[in-house]
Amino acid sequence: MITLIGIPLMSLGVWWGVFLAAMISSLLVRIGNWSRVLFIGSITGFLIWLIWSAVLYFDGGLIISQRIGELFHLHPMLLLLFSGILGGILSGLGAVSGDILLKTKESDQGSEEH
Amino acid sequence: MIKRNIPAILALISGIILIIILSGPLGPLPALGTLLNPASGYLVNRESSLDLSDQTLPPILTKDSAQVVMDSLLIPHIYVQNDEDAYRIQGFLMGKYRLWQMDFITRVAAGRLSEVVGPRALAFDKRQRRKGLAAAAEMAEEAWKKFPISYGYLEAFSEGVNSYIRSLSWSSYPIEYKLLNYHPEPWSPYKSALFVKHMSDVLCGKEKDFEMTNAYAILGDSLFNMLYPERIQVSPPVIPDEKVFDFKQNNTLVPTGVINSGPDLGFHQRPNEKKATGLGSNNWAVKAYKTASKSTILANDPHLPLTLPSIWYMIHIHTPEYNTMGVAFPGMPGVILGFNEDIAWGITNSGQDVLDWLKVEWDSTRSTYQWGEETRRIIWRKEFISIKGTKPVIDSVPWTDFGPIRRIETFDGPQYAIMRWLGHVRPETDEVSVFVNINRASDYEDFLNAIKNFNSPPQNFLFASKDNDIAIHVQGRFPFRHAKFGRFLETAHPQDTWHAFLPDAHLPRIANPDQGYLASANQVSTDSSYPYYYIDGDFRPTRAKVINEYLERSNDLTMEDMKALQMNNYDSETHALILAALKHLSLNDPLRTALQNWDGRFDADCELCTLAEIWKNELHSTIYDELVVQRPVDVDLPSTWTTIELLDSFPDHVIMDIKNTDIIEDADQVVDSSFKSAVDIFDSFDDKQWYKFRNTEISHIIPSLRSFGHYEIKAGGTGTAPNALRQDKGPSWRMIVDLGDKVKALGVYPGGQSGNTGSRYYDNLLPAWISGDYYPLELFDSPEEIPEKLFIMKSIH
Repeated sequence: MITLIGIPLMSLGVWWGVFLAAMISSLLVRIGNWSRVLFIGSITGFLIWLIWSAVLYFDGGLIISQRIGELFHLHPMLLLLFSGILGGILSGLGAVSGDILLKTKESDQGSEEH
Repeated sequence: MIKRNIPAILALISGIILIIILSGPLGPLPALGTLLNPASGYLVNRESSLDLSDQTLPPILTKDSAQVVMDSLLIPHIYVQNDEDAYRIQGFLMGKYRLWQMDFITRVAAGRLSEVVGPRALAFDKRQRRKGLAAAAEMAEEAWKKFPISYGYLEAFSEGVNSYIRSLSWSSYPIEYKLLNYHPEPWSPYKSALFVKHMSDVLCGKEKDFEMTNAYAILGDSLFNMLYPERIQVSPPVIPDEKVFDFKQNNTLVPTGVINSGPDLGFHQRPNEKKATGLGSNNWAVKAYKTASKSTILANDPHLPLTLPSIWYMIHIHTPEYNTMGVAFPGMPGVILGFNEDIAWGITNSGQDVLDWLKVEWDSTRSTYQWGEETRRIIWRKEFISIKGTKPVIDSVPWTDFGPIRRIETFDGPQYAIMRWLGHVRPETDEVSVFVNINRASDYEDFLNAIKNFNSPPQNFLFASKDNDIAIHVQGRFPFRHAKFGRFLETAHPQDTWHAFLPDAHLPRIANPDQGYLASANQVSTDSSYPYYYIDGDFRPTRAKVINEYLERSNDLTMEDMKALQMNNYDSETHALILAALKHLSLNDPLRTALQNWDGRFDADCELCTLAEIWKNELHSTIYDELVVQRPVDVDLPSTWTTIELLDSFPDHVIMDIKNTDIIEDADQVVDSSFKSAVDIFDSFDDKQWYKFRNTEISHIIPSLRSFGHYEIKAGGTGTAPNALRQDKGPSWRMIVDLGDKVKALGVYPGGQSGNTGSRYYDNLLPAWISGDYYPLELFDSPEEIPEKLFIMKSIH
């Protein structure tokens, strides 16, 4: 779901599309308690950004990674890691937001029915 | 309800805050979210295999069938059926490979950097606006419209650039846009005009009026005249002495010069930035009888700021009418320095002063100014300066009929002066056509017809042809001055300033001289027999001496000799100074003996060169202490050649005295003292090699992007050697063309064809340039002849 919604959004310039995608995903799919949602959301976002960046890095991205890395006094591989971490945080926060909203909604509905 | 939603709200708010924070710059850091994400961040700027695979040209670019072959150096070989298609494709390619550079340079010219970098550029922008480059570009573009064919080429070029811009999204923007977080703007002929004005500012925006006025005020008449001769001529002028000027000046056009009898006294600080030294160029051509191949050879190496992306872009354009190759400016159509199947051409800066400062009186309301007996109106031009992240600023610039009024700081308070500059003068000729027509010229007559429209910045145009013609023209618009006017800060008066330009037929020029060669290296244009008065704006007397001597010596010159001359590190000026100083040195030091045996060559690993350079500077500071202590007032120290003359002929001159001592020194004492200081400084360096001391850097256009540049370049050369490499300027393009039956050409520049720092073609030419190697440049008649094709771009016709 994240891939389906997030990637096109990000490609259109909405770099934080992964946040929206993770939020919508967890609104639609029940995963479990919030810590599990946070974990799965973060890991998913982290892996998507990290793997995606790594693919680009190995497809001609070495030179630009070295130059940008040097600009920030970082090893290019650390840039990939930071990219993954950023994707993970955004995705995790998005997933938790969606999950809590879903549970609140369900809880409200349950109270009304009860 | 709200209580239960608090965790969700908190998570949502945290996410939104994070997004907001990472969408914008964080102190010195760029927007990390936009930069680090894999969909549109820095990794999209990599050069993938797709970028180097065959592509289709956008249909809008061409009316007829067209093909672009990228060779192994990413040099485009453009095969088209008409001129418009050629320039549209050129625009498209320059957009594709140099978009940000073009955008940024025109922002520099227009004073629009604050829009993209924020308030820190405001002072720079104000200075640029007050200098009036944008106003001058608007005027030039209006004037260019009078020549619809040439203007059409600019429009075609713009369409090409814009076609590329339209194909972009944020993710495909050049990395600099992502780092600075802004968007490209459409290109237009006005932007090309801005680029031309930027080059005018770089090449002919230099004068010495303030420095001369201050030096005169400090030294007085006789000492000033001795230390600052109007002409320093140690080499043949651009137009060799054999030229007879068989005309007289047209006196009806010469200002009468009743007001200004001498420089105004007082210390002034210049309103414009002080132009750095080191811009210049070399070019030379030899007739067939002086070459081993028995064909004419032309060489050119312009010395400009060395940056990445490079100021040049190599290009080959093939149409049914012509076949030309060389380097172009990102921002202008056509080849600027190059060759075709019949001719070759090269350019150096003329160095004549075409910028005067005229002190002006204005009324208390600042709505009029005094122009002799006449009161004239001032027009205030509102400059609206947008600033990233804060409110815009409106700056008002007063304009007269002769240029903007600028504020000058003096010790007695501010004064005001009109900046009378050639760059502000409306062009009356079809100047856009100049290089377009040179590109298709087949003989000297065609070349003459092309360059007669050239206005600014004035240049030494060198020509060579297969017909064994060589010629050089000091070309441009040169003010019709009365003698002495313009060397100092002057008073605004109609009878003093220039109103007309020298007639084209009277500009200095020569074709096929008896000496068999021609050479210019920013030295003085003519000998004293030239009937018109002109001023040293930035003449460089030294390099031409070595070049002329080299060309004079041989009648068997080869392209290898030309390479050797372009890479020649011999600095005759510093060498002569050191030898002159050594005659006065009484100290016995091993370094003294070493310097006596030094050959004057500034090779990369040379350590003595570092000592020589330090000693030269120390010697000048010691001899001219009267001038040095006056800093920060703008003063140039006298030339090294003047110092040599003083040491040789006037060792007891009063100028040798060091002011803050009780005794009166002569040359011997000054030389000893400066040598001791120089040796102390020299000994304090761990790394004494010349290249480390000179520390040449080829930085990115934004120098703070350090990882995008190269530093401590290990190459020989110095500003006064033919290989005129300085800290941040030097041979920006080296070209040699042998106009035999089949044209052979070589070229190299310190950079690469791509402006994308993620591309292997960003700086791939640099190693060859450092080591003095060249790449062959070939006028392939058809795409099939190109041996190593990187990829092909075809039209769909």
